[in-house]
Amino acid sequence: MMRSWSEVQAMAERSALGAGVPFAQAARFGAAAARHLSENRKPDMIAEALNAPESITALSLEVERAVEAASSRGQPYLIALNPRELAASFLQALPCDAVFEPVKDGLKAMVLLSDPQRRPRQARLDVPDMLWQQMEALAAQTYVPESEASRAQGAGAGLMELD
Amino acid sequence: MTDAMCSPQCALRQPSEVMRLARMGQAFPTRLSFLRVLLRRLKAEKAEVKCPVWRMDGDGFGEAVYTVVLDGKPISLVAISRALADADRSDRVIANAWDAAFVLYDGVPDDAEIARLGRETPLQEAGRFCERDLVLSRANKSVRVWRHVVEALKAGRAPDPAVLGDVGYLMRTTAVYGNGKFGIADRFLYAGRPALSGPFAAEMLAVWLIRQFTFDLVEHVGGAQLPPDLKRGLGVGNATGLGMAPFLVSHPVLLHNWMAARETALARVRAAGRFSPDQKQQMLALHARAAAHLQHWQVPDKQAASELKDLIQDWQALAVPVHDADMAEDIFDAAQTLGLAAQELTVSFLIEIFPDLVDDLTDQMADPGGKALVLLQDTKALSEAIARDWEWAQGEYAQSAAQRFWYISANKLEPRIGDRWNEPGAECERPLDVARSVALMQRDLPGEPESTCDFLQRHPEHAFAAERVSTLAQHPYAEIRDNLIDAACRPIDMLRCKLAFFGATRFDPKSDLWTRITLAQGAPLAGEIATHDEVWLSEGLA
Repeated sequence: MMRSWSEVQAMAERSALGAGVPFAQAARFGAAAARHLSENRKPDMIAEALNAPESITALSLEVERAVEAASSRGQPYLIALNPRELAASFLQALPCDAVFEPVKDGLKAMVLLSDPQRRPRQARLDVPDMLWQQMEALAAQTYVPESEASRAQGAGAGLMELD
Repeated sequence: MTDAMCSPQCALRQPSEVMRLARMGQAFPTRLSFLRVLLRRLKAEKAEVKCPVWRMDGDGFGEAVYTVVLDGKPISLVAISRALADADRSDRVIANAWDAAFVLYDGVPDDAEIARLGRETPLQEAGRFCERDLVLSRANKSVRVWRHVVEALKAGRAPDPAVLGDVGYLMRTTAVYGNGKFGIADRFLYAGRPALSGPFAAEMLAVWLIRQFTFDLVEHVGGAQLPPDLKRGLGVGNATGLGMAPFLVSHPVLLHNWMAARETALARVRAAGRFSPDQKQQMLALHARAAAHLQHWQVPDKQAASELKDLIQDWQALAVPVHDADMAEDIFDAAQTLGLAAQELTVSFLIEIFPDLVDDLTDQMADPGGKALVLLQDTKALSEAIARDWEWAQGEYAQSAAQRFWYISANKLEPRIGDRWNEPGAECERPLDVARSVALMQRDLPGEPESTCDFLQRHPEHAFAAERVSTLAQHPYAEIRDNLIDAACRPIDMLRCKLAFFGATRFDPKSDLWTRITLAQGAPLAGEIATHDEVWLSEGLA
């Protein structure tokens, strides 16, 4: 089904949370998942990452190290994690530009902190049904079912008077 | 915000003062508010609103299309009006039927597109939308005002301004969705267009066109025209609950940009020299306008009514300093002895007098992105930043200090707030516990410095806190400096701050969790946008 970028990003983020990924890393994964699909990379990589949430946390940290290498030393950084395509999606989900090349042990990445990300974003993203269902199921684990107390208090409305 | 500021200015108010919920919850709209920015843009473009489609039956049920050209491209509001039983009319987000539903559409819809939107738009969250659909909204009638106006028009008389003024609108929206929700266009698709580049510009355009639709619809059903001055005195209502509160926390850079723009505007105004005779006259008139606005502001809630009464007294007390003042700083100083509401109204008032000094700041209120967050390099830097910027977050997060938790409801996928000690679901808590997160990270920071990345490898759960600390070090207005999970936290203060930036007035809190407001009251009508100025606070209807 075709979906907006924001829908995909938000659902991927929530699904990562549901899989047990911490908040900041889940947010990065959400952005990376939308970029991944926008670049026509294999959706299976998103599904597999969600099955191994520690890989999302690790990849997010590697990208953080790439940013740190660019910031403090002005140097490229070797992301020695697979799959390379998903690592590339994480890099291209940064708000700034990044160049990278596959090398024997992974992806050699240089984050260009002063260059805004200019890669186009698609207006619609095609998310395979199976992937969407997987993400929905994981995301659902982060939602809280309604209760009497939440109905009375949580929404804030209580009894509504109309005018 | 950039640092390229050429106007003289005094020191900005400190974030430790400005970013407290008690003060944010007293915010007023300013010249920088998004609706007002949009209206000035519409005037500059001499925008003409046309209504190419009006297919309504005698009871006002059917569809209409309004079109306005901005940046050389047409944008349309598609309005769908349906019959709704009184028993089904609810402002809650869990409602599933409304008096009217709307889409702001990119272009001019043909009949096939109108038919599509006629099917999908009334479904709201249950519908599916496409990238040509920019904003999705719905509204309910104020039944009392609607019936009064229709009956008056049918009887050939003007409606009673007191009845209209009591409520302030014919319809109130209960949600205005943008940025990709339910398949509508992502913001990045249109953010490059100058007229829609500002924060929430598309949403504000939808609201202003909805207001026009409410006038046309009531005149259609009533069979006569409303006097323009009565229409001008009406806005669009809005019922807002917790759904919008987390936005201020999840968009820290944007929050900084909004607040920094307003504080920079104030700092420039305070540094301005003596008032010109024209400015002095305008100032006296604006003070009187604000006083009239306060008098017409109806607030049933007892606490809010008491606060409003105090504000009216404070505003009256400011009349003498305003009369005697030679420069803005005199008035600002005088207001510091008054309550927080009067202080914040004074900020809005002073900014209003100096458009030439402040209006350029609206260009800096969006977040164009393009910059990656660089975390503070090591744990020593994190520790120092916490000591410098997060003193307000220190403490134990037990009992009432951690009473609340924010979550997403399974039923409507909307933000909610729960009681940690008495309700299930805290394990699904959303990260609005920023203060606690930073305090928890601080406890785990090592005695010997290590790189932040190495620290996060051992403690990935602290990456969120490390981001917040690093962001605040660069963007001092990025954080609400209060514990948002404390039992005493009032989410209504977050709503008030955000809604003031939208341009909302007549805040009418119904609890600590939701409020009604009015937008565009006093704003020019569709046919007069090129000739009428948008205004600060509406004086209301007599």
